[in-house]
Amino acid sequence: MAGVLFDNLTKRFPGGAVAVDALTLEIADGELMVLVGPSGCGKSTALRMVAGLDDPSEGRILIGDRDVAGVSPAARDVAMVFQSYALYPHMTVRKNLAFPLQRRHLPRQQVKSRVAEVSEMLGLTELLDRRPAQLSGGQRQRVAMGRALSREPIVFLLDEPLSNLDAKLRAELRAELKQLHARVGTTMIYVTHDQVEAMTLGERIAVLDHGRLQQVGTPEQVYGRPCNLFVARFVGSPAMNVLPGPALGRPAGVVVGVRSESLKPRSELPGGLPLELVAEVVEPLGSDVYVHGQAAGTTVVARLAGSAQVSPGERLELAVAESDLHLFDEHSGARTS
Amino acid sequence: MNRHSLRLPFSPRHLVLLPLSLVMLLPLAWMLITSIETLSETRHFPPHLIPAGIHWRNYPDALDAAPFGRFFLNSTIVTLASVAGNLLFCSLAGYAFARLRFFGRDVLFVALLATLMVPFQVTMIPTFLIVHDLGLVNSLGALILPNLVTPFGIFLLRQFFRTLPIELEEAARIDGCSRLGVLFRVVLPLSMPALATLGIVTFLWTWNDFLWPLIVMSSTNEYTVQLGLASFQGAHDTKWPLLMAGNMMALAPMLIVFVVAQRWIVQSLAATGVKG
Repeated sequence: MAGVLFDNLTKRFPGGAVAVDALTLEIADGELMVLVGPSGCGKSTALRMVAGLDDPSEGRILIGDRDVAGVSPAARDVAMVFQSYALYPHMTVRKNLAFPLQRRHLPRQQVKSRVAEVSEMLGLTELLDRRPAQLSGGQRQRVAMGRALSREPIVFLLDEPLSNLDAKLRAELRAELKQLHARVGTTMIYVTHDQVEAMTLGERIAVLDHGRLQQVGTPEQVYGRPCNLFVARFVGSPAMNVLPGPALGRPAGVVVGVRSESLKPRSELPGGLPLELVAEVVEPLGSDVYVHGQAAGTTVVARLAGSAQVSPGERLELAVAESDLHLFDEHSGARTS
Repeated sequence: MNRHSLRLPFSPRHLVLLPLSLVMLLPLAWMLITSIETLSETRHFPPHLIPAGIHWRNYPDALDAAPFGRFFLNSTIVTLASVAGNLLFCSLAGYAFARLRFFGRDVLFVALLATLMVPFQVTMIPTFLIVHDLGLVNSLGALILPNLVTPFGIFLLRQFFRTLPIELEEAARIDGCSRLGVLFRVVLPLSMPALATLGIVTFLWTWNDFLWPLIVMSSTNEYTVQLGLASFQGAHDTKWPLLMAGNMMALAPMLIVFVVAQRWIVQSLAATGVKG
C-alpha cells in the first residue's frame, strides 16, 4: 500500500489546451480521495497520469516514495476501474478476473484461489462462466471492481465507475464501495462529476475546475466553508444561493452565499436578516419542501420543513442568520469572511 | 376492410437476389457440365445443356496429364504461407498505424495507401529484379516473399483496430500487458471478423494468382495449380473437358475455405456485440 503525491503536476495537450494546471495534492496511504469537478476539469486526466496512460507535461507523481515518471502502467502496481468497465468481451468473468494475475505470472493454484476469494466477496460466483455481454450493468460493474481487486494493487483508481448505472443501483453500489474500502484499506482515488457521490463517498474531496485545484478537505469542510464562489456553487444540492451584497445588508462588491436550508421563515428566526421570496415553483419532497422563486432580483431556492404550505405566487417572509452567510469578493470570487 | 395482402414465403428482396445468383451460377454450372462431357460434345453447336452421358474420366485424365499433385502442394504451401504472413505482419503494422504514436506516422500511412493505386503491371519488373537478386527465381520463395504483407491488409486491419474501444487496451496495459501482449491477447481475439476477411481475401488472391507465378516460374516442378491448368490451353487446340475438370478441382479448396470462413465471419460479428 502507498500514498500518492501530485507534485506541481501539469498536463498540456498538443494544441495548447491545459487539462491539469500545477496540481499539488497529497493523498495519504489508505485514504479514499475523491476528485470532483465539472466535465473537462482535468480530474480524469490526473487519474490517467497516475495510471501511466498519459504522461505529465511538467511535475511529478509519487506513488509511495517512488517517482513513477517513465514507469510503464504495468509496473506501477495500480488497478483502474473504467467508466465503461472495459471488461474483455472475449473472456468469461473468470478469465477477466484471472487476467491481471496471469499477466504477473502467479502460480496457477494461487490464481484460482484468488479468483474464488474475490468472486465470493463480490457475489460473482454464479457468474464466473458468463461473458460480459450476458451480464447486467450492475454485474459488469462488480466484475470490473473484482478485476481491480483480484491482484491487490497498492492504489485503486476509479474513473466514474458508477455513472453508467441507474440511480438506485448507484446508491447501493456507493455504499458497497465504501464498505469495500473500509475492508481492504487500500488507497483509492475516485473521480466523479457528481458532487453528491463525492460528498457521500470521500474521506476527503478535492474540487477541480479548469485543471486547477480549488479546494481540498473533508466533505464537511468543503460544504461548510467553501473557499470560493465556484466551490460554493458546485458543492451542495440544491446549489448555494448567491445574492448581491446589498440585498442582505452588505456593501456592493461583495456577493453573499446562502445555503437553501439556512433560509427560514422569519417567525422562526426573528433576529435574522430579512429576505422576501416570491415563490414560483414548489417541490414537496415529503421531508422537505423546495421553494424556487425570485429574491433580490435573482433565483433563490429555499428548503423548508415538509409541513410548510406554500403555493406558487406567494410572498414568503424569510430570514437568514448572520452566521450562515458566506461572503465572497464579486470579482475574484474568493472568500472574504 | 377485407384486403388480403400478398404474402411471399420469403423476403421480397429475394425476388431480385434469386435471378441474380442464377446469373452468377451459370458459368459455374457450364464449367461443371463441360468437365463431364467428351471433347466432341463440347464442340457441338448449338451447345446442349444436358450431356448425353457423364464422362467422369476427364478428372483422372486431367490429373494424369501433368503432375497435378505437385502443383496442388505448391499452391497450398504458397497460399498458406501468404495467409499466415499477411495475418501476422499486417496485424503488427496495422496496430502500429492504429495506436502507436511515432514520428511521421500519418505521412507514412498516406504513402502506404498511395501504393494501393499503383497497378501490379508497374511493380512487376522491379519486383522481379529484386526477387532475382535474392536468388529466388524459380522457387516457391519467389511466390511467397513478395506476398507476405500487403498494403491492403495493413489498411484493413488498421481501420478495424481503430474501432475497438481504447479502454480495453488501456485496461490490459494496466493489468500487466506489454504492447505486444495487448495486441495478441486483447486486440487480435476481438478482431476475428477482420482477420477472417483478410485471410479469405489473401487465400483467394494467392490461390488464383496467375501472372506472377508465370513470370518467376520456369520449371514445371515449381508450377502452381493455375499454371498447370494453362498447359491445357494450347495455341491451336484447347482440351476443354480436361481444363474444366482441372478447374473444378482447383476451385474446391476455395469453395471450402469460403463456406467455412463465411460462417465464422458471421459468428464473429455477432460475438463482438458487447454493447448493452
